[in-house]
Amino acid sequence: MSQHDHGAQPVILPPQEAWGVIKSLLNPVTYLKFAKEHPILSLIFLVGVVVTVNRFLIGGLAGTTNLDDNNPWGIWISFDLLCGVALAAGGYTTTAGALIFNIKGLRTAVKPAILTAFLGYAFVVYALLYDVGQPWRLPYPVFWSQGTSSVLFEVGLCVMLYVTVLMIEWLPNFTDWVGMQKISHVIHKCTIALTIMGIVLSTMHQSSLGMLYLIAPHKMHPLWYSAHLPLQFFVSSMVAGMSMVIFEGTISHHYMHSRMSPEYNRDHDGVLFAFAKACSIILFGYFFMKWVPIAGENKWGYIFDGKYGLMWLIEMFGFIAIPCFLYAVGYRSRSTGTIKAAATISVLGIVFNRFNVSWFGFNIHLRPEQQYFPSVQEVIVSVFVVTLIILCFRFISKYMAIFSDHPSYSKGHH
Amino acid sequence: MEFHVYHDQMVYSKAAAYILMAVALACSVVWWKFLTGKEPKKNDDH
Repeated sequence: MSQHDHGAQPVILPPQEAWGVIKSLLNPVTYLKFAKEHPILSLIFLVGVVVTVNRFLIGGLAGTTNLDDNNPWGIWISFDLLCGVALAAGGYTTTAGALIFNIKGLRTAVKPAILTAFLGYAFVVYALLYDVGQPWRLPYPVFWSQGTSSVLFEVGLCVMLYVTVLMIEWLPNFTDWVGMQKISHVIHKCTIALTIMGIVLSTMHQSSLGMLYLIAPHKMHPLWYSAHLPLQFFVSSMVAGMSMVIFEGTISHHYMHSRMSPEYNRDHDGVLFAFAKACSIILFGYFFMKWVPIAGENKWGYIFDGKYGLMWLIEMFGFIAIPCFLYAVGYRSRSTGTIKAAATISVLGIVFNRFNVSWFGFNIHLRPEQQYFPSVQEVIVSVFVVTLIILCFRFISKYMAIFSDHPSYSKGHH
Repeated sequence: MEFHVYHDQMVYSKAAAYILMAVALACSVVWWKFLTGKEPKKNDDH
């Protein structure tokens, strides 16, 4: 069990002071102060702004990226979108566990998980603005020209609806903070409906992201191409989401310990054990789910065939079997350290899998000089987006009641 | 990367997939025992 001091209730500013904090965001002095205290984050932010100006006002896609007609989707899709959506799956897995399956220990993980998911999805959409040639046309497929036979249309529609659902689920944290409890009460009455919508929409678009690649059987390496891709994407998203909640919770627990109420600190280990058991079971199934198409489509020969075979084996054993075993050992022996290690490996494994499907194992028929490698500016944008997510998470959890119940509530609300 | 699928090969592949699924099912029983073998009793504070 945790050796942490359970501490006192964190201080939540009264509404009048909350508005003062919001006003201070409009004051440049706030940012200068922040830059002095956090020079590295500020440098990343500054470089990100320069690249953003270059992308939208000067160089465009050609002057910013290594994308071309052979490789129209690059690291912004592989990392920002595919990894971002998978790792933000903690929102639906945690709400499903806590509010639908009524696992009591998970209650305290709901608000941080919803915040992580909301920021994750919001910044997926933000990153997409960089990637789409004419970003102002992003709403076209939903409002003007519905391509109802397209998988991408379904992904777009689901992501748009799910971002809205997540925003509504997160909104009570803000309205409580600024003293608009009436709005919070209305939203709390819709909690179950919102949770069910979140699960349905996530199930649909997590699998559809895998389905997108079914259109390119001749571009993908056979080890990753499979008719089971949608199922594999959906199942792995559950592990990604829960592992990310453990990973993010561990970092929050370390750096924002003083913002956590005694109840949140006490329940932290319970969340770890519940998710470790679930992740171990799901990873076990996922491991065999990846072998079945190899047998069914007779692809054994590719496993021992060069670097792709090696990468597939590393993914299967290093990033699926090992975390599966570590989660089980951590759960059995009540070792939070082992569970945290398993969560870190799982998060890296999901990134590796999505990179294999959409980048390393994609367009393999091209000549080496035609293969895609991201430009420095593409990588900077991805780092910039991650930095923005961290800054937003830090700001929101510093001021709003994310790791505690808001003082205006009696015990028992979500 | 081309590979040709013949009828016999397809039958054997399907059979292999079903055998693999049976192995997975057997392993899952062992895995479940291992995972829950030392599970604390219900009145524990988990």
